Amino acid sequence: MEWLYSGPNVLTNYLMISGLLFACGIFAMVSRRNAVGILMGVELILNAAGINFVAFARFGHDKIEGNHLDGQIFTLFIIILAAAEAAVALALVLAVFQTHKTIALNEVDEMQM
Amino acid sequence: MAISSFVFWLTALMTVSSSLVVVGARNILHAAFALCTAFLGVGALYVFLHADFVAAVQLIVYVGGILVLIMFAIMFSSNVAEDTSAERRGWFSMWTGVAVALVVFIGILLLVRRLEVPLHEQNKYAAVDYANTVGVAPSTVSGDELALVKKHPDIVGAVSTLSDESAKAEMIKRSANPEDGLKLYDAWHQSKGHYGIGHKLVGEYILPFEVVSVLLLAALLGAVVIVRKELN
Repeated sequence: MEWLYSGPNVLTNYLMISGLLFACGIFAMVSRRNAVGILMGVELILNAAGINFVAFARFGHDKIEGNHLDGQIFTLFIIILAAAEAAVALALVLAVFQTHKTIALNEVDEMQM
Repeated sequence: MAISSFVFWLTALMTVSSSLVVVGARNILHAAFALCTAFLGVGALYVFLHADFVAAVQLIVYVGGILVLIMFAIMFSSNVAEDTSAERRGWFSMWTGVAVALVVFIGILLLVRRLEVPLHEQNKYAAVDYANTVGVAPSTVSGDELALVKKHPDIVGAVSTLSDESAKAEMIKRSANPEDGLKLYDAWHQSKGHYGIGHKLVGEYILPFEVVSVLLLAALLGAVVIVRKELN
């Protein structure tokens, strides 16, 4: 029960939380039909990856010099890439809506109207 | 149970349950609001991991930027008052999703269980937190080292633009004797936090940093080109 009482100081707790977020994201990507809902799943997956990077950076090996900041910088890059991805993907969603009048992906099955 | 542990598990519960709402809600707007809570919870986890700067960026970019974009897309592209039957998922895709997510999660669970990091020796910083939390006698890190750094503002200020190696040499040169210089270097290196991120971002990681700025420009232009109306 040590992992329960020293909650924020145990690496595996963070890994379990990020694993749950990742599974939620996978579920949304597989089962949702709304394009924006799938995008939300992708965002959850990116967040899970970010938690993992920062957690391993904090609890990783102390001997490697400056190691505890590299993971944080990777997470910063993940956040930036997520922003770029969201901008382009939501533009695509709006473009699809203009041509097809829906964003349900099982109804959008032709390249051109 | 220590108060920090209690808050941690509360944050974890908030994050996981709201991400379940994100993937389960019928109304896509409800999912977007739950996504806001999930992002806030992840930001709180970054604070627990002593990554304050990443937590701030998470709030600014995710909650302030991406979430607003998602809200815009929802309001522009669908009738939020009712969910149309085409957007509702069928039984088949629902159970396929559950199966895939379960398989992935069990895989992660097995991997994490194989990871054997001793609780007490994970990290010097974590060891101090751990000692403070459960009441074991604290070791010599953190408070002492911060005091040491604050005692030598002139030396720390002088080396603030140098790389780690030259800072070490400079500190040894400026201190009364080499042992003091090394001690100060260790303490300084562990206390720098945000300074270290900025230093690395425009030093070691300057190429990815510049590439990412070009990529952001390309994404911006791409988004504009995609949504613009054709004039013929």
